[in-house]
Amino acid sequence: MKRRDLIKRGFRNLRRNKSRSVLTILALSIGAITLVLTLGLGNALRSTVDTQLADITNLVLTVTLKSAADKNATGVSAYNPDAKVITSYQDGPDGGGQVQLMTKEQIDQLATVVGVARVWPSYAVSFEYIKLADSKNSFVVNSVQEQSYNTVEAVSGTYPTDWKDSDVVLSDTYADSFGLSTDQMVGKEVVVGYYDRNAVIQEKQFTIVGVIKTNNGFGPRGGSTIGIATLSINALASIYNDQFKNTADYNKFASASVLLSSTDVEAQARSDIQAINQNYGLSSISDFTDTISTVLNSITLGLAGFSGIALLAAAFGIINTQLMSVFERTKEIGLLKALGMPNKNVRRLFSYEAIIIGVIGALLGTVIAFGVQELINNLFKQQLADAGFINGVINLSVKDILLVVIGLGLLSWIAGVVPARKAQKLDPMQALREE
Amino acid sequence: MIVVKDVTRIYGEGSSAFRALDSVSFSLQEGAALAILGKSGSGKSTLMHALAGLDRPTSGKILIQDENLWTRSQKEIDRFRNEDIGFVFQDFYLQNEETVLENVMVTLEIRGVTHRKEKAMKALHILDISEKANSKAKQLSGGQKQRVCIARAIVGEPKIIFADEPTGNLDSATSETVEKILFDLNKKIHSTLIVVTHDKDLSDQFENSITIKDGKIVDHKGKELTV
Repeated sequence: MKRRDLIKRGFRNLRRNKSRSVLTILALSIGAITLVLTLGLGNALRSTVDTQLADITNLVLTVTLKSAADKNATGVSAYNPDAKVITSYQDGPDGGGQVQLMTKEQIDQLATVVGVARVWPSYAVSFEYIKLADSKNSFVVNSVQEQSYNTVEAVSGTYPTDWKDSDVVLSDTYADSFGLSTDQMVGKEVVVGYYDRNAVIQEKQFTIVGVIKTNNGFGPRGGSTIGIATLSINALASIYNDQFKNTADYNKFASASVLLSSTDVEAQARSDIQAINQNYGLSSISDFTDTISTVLNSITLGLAGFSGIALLAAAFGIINTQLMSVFERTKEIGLLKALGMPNKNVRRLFSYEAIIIGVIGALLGTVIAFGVQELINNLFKQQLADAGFINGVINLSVKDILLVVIGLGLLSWIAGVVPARKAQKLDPMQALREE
Repeated sequence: MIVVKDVTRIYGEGSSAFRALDSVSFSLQEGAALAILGKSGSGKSTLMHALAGLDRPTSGKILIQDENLWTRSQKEIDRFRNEDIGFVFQDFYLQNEETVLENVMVTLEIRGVTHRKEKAMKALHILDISEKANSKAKQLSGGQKQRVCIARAIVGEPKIIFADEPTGNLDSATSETVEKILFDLNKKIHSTLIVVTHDKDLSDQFENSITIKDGKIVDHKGKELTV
């Protein structure tokens, strides 16, 4: 008997028991829907994170100095008055140990590492106010940030890749305060005011080269009243000198940033930096993205596991349906065997029927899941985009759909083994005599 | 030539064992028409099932064209049932939800042949029921069903046609038609015809017949038959 004829016969049998077949397929498709949606959700989360982080290069390493911790000690360490370092009570990047401040010399030493293009300390500076050069109205600056080596999208103007000392990028929240559109802001001169070490206000003039969104993905975040100014590292360094020179903590920094010439040198640079001082803690955005993908994958897998339980229940539905089918069609099986159909083909016939149920269930589930995807992604388009899901919260991939269809075909085949074997073992004469 | 040698079939074991066939031996020439007559429970159906490759005898052997039937592999026996014999059942065993054509084609479908439709239509023509080809089997009368069943038996051009009480479920007028069809086929396509019946009138019309009682041949007639 040809395989095509067996499959055709399988379809005919399923059609004959329409309601039962449909119900079994529906049960299976519900499992398929949840599985496909779960995988689609995982895809969307991953792709959203990837898009958000795509602009962030892995070229910048953050270096901190952890206090040498005695791993065997318990309790809190005793205060050492001769330590000559300021102990900061914040957790290190890997959750353990306290962070010591780094000296300028230590930081400069990092520049000797091969593959390091630039090294700079974390300049913590603060501004009192900002105002247009030709205006008297001044506004607060909530956060002063250093230039980023990542691509940042500007609403107006450009986010410089090659910063001049006089460049400033402001958040779009200043547009209302200045009474200008974001486009009008570009090119305007602004004056910032800050206290120097003698508590005297100093002013410095900058040119607005770009305006960015306050709420920019995983980047700088803030409400509609938060003012953020971004400056070049050089400008920050000079303001830092104005603010802290000759103070006790001058040239002691919580962390340093290291710009690598390429991602290829990251591994070597990391070990070289660690070789300088084993207490250096290193972190880069890749550590962060790795953690995020691990978490996302775990969530997706966990949810998929729940769908798996639904599918398991559906598999028992297939076993039930096919067993009933064997009982009902005992005479037909007897006839087919009496007419010379080999036992092997009888088994195949029932296996194919189970697989057909599985594949149709998977396809139906996929189609419904696709509908759900379109519905949710379009209905909540704006809300999702605001939350950072630019490409929607469900994102079905061909690979996942293929996986689900093949997987469910396989599952159904396994579920159909017991009924198929039962059919295979029927004695034709007894089957025909059955009333 | 069909040769049956000391065929015994015992159902069950020990004290509950039942000897359905007891050392039955005979031989029948090719193309002959044979009636196996007997009452219910005489063993006549068991004999036919053994001949048709459906029920393995406990002992003895059956030679079909000098080839031992029951020493063949299951695959060969399946092939024998599909290609060498046609089977007409008392209860028809048609798939009620399928069309007449589909019911007839099933033999060829199992064999894996192409152009099944033409061959099946030819068989339906021979039995004069081709106009019902696309009707569902459940829409047919008893006589029509039996004709479809015979069409299914002959569609594969078998060497032997077995019929198990072919007129058992039919009224007398329809019975006559079916009997005539079977005899005509025997002459027309030169298949050996073996019919199991409890109807003396039917068996009298056969040139050869054996009568079975308690698993043994008690009477026989016919030139093409040797007991």
